[in-house]
Amino acid sequence: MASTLSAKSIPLARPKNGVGAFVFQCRKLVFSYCEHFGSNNGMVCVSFHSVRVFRFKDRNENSPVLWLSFVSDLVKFAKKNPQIEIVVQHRPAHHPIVKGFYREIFVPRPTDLHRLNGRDKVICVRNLSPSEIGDKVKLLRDSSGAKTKLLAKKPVLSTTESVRGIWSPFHSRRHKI
Amino acid sequence: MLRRTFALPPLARLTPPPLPCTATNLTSLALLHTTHPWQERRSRKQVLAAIGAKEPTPALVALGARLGLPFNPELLRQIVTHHSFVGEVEEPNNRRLEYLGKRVLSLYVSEYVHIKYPFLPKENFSQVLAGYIGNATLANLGREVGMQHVVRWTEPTRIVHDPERTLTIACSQTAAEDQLTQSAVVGKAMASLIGALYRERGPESAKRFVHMHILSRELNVRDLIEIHNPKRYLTWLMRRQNRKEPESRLLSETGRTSVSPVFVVGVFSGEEKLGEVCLLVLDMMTYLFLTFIVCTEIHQVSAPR
Repeated sequence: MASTLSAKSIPLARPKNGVGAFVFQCRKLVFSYCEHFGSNNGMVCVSFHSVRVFRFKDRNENSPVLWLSFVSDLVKFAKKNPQIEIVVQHRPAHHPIVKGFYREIFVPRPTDLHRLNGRDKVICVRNLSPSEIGDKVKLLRDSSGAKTKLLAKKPVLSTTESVRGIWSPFHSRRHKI
Repeated sequence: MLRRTFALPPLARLTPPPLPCTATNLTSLALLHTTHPWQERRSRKQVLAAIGAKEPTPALVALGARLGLPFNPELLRQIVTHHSFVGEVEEPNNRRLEYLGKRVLSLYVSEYVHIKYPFLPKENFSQVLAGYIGNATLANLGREVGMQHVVRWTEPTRIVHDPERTLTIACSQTAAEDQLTQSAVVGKAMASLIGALYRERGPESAKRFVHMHILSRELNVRDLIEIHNPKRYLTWLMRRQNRKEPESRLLSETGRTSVSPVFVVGVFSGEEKLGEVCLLVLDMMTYLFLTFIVCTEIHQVSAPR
């Protein structure tokens, strides 16, 4: 029955995320690190193929206890957010970055939703401590993928531009000079 | 420096380190050095090949969690495997699941539309159905949930148009429009997902999924309806429902002799008012008014058990 219809006669069913089910917008997080560059000290990620050599007497941030705590934090994060695919990528001779990939949305232009279509966000986490990196990761996870918008200038978003309504001559006093 | 090769997992994954990091012995730490990581970096082809690997990819598991599906990874892999996919081993594909899923979708969406729009003309019914469960919509839905990153299929080789051999091409190969596209594969994977849900968890689960993901989408039904003889249609509708013949009555008016009069006309079936409309000219029965009756929405949708 549906196959006999032409493509133009089929109406468009617009997606309404959250009306029925909510599809989480952040689909993938990529952690890129380099084990030699010093800025990566916070982004401590013990990968399966290299381990940094350090001395037992080191009591600074590069200690293994902190490393293991970050790894377990990342594992905990991954378990708590099973809908996000987490990739740990080795990227030598670069600052560490966290990259978030967001889902695609199919609505015809021009609407606000079209801006979210398949975007990605990158945050460079050089010289940040593990807890600060955690904050940035949460920021990426909670984002919708839209470009960061300044919300301070227009605090009210409404179908009517003014809160008290648009002026009408029928609902006000007669103009007096 | 001692070198040691590890058997690497297919894709980068956060696994526990092979040796304890709290080792104090420097020599044991030196043993951990392997080949330099940049030599082991995988190209895109290698990554794509890994998608055909035995274990399900993290993206696939994440997809299952995103949709709230209680499937094991093997079933998820079957759902996203198109029958055109050629792997090392004979893999189960989603063809049968897709067949089942399409019919399950058709059932639950038809049921919903039938109850929500009881007076919808039959041509519009098929249009609305296509709008909810057509190939384009399923493909869009699949892309929105991230299916395009996990589907396993084989892209067909492009047909090169040769004017001298047009006839032979038409006979031996399919037309360009029928060629398999990623959108089509993604749509089929979505249908097979619903089929799998129906098979594993039963009709209630499948129905809930269809209502949450597909019927929650917004579709403007009013714009589809074209009634050429609205008065005639309304008369037929009332007769069919054994109600009194419709007649229009003037409810109120203002400015009849002025430049811009306003008349409020109501259509009644006996004592019951079917609807009213504001008219600028007294004799005009507007088209919008009738589609308003025809598309009466029942807000509490109660489907048959």
